[in-house]
Amino acid sequence: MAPGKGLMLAFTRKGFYLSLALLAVFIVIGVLFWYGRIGANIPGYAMDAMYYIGIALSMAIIMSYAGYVSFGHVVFYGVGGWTLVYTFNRLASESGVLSFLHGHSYAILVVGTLLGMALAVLLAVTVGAAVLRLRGAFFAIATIGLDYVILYLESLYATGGSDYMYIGYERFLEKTYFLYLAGLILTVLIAYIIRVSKFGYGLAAIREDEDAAEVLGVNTYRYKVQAFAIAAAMAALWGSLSSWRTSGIFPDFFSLSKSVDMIVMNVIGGLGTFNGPIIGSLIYYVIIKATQLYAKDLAYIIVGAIVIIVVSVFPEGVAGLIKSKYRQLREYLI
Amino acid sequence: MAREILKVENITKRFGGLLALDHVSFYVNEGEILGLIGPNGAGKTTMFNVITGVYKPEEGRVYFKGRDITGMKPHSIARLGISRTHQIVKPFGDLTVLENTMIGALFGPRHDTITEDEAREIALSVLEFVGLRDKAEMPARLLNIQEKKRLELARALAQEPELLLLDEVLAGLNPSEVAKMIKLLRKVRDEKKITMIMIEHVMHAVMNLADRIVVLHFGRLIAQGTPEEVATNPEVVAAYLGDPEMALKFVKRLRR
Ligand SMILES: Nc1ncnc2c1ncn2[C@@H]1O[C@H](COP(=O)(O)OP(=O)(O)O)[C@@H](O)[C@H]1O
Ligand SMILES: [Mg+2]
Repeated sequence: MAPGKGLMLAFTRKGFYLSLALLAVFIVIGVLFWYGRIGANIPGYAMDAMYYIGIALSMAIIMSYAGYVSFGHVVFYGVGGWTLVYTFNRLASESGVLSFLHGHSYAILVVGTLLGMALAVLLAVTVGAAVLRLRGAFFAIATIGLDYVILYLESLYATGGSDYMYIGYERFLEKTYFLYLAGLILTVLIAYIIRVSKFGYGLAAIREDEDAAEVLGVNTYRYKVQAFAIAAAMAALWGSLSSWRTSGIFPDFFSLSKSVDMIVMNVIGGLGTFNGPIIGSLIYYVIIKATQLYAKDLAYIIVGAIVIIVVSVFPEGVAGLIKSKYRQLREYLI
Repeated sequence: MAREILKVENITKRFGGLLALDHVSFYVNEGEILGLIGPNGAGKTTMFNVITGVYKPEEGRVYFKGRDITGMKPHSIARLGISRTHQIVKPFGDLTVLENTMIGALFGPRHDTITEDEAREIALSVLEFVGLRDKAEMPARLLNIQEKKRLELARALAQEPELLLLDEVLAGLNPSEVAKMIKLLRKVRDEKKITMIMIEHVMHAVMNLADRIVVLHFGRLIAQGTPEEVATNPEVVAAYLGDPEMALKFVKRLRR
């Protein structure tokens, strides 16, 4: 598509205002936090929510938009987190190749994040070239193979000592909050532009019927690889931001259940729309937070049960429910 | 002299031990409607799949406007200007009728330069043309079978192809729907001037619409010619048309 009027118009759609409203809430919280009007609790929750939206949208590009479920997505997130730590402690150390960055933690953050995203794209394109020839369950199973990369990264920091885990820098939670916000705005914009562009139409065609899409002129293979690479870069961005927020990576950081989190949020939200995964991640976050607060030990069992119930009762998620029961609200989903 | 828009030469396609197409050759001239007929399992759909690049033939070549397109990917062939409908309809169920049709326009021969606004305009006018304009905002999965067939046609037409392959667009329709669809296909020929190959079992339709007919039987081409020639060809009557009286009636109707 030649960008221009069409794309500009796309930003005036009702469904996009919904996202803008959400971003506005995060901005207000950030401003209140910056000027010391509120404590760190609410901004903490807000950052958790942004994180969930971010990783859900990264998964959405390949799963919700193109219809390919990846169980290996946490790998790209992990690569992002790991690369930031590696950049801090190795590349930008006093003796590293990027020593000129030493001591400039925000510059290192930017460089490390970009490196992590590039590495994730490289991995996604390489692996995607093979696994994206598979369809449906076979693709999903093949992506589990990606998770072995995680085991490799874990072994690196197991043998490499704490250098591979912690990054030491002066932390300002207020600044971190706005970094998250920047990450979220970027993620939302990219996802939205993809969703409403020609690329998004092609991905939707692939999701609905890949053979028909190909026969209609969609370069299905190239589109899938591109979607996978973009999804990977977005996951790496959130991996990097997360490891910045927690000053490093730790075994749980690579938890394979993060792939499952991303999938579940998309399922709850419902496939195929822009706002579905966002709504799904907010619901998921509320469920997780509530169960953690009120039923700590049973949290994951309760979350699991809720997921099973939700999927049984609303197999097509919130978006599916709205599309079938409240057709007039459809345009808010995009 | 009429220009050849498509030529298939010696196409052979096997599925395991099954010879679905056995050294089949034919051509289509620009502006003409070619009927492709034959009993079930004769290899007609397989021929469409070979032409559109879905299947690679073991032997033979496909030429589109003189260019060898054998072995090209389906999306590249679509972009050259060959569009098709599917015998078993393949709507993008969750997308609206308009979105389905827009995708046709966005990824067709003009994919490089077309804007979304243009694609929407083309899609709307094509939907008007096939009589689905009032269903534009409906999810495609909610259409009935007749409408889904029209959507297949709309999506293909939105590509603005030079060659349109129609795979049994009349099958499963009741007589009045068949009549409507025939009228529509006439309109495609007369107004849009698109060359067509139509696979069809509804004999009076194909005998009426086609300029020439190719007959496949167990993967072999057993006859080709004008509707009259084909309908009176003893081998075709024996293999497919069955009743010679019936066959003659088609021709009579044609003459009227
Ligand atoms: N993908 C396939 N795999 C195996 N056999 C196939 C495949 N496609 C078609 N065939 C077989 O090839 C023969 C021709 O099929 P087809 O071209 O669909 O016939 P028609 O469209 O003339 O009814 C049939 O015997 C069919 O079973
Ligand atoms: Mg067939």
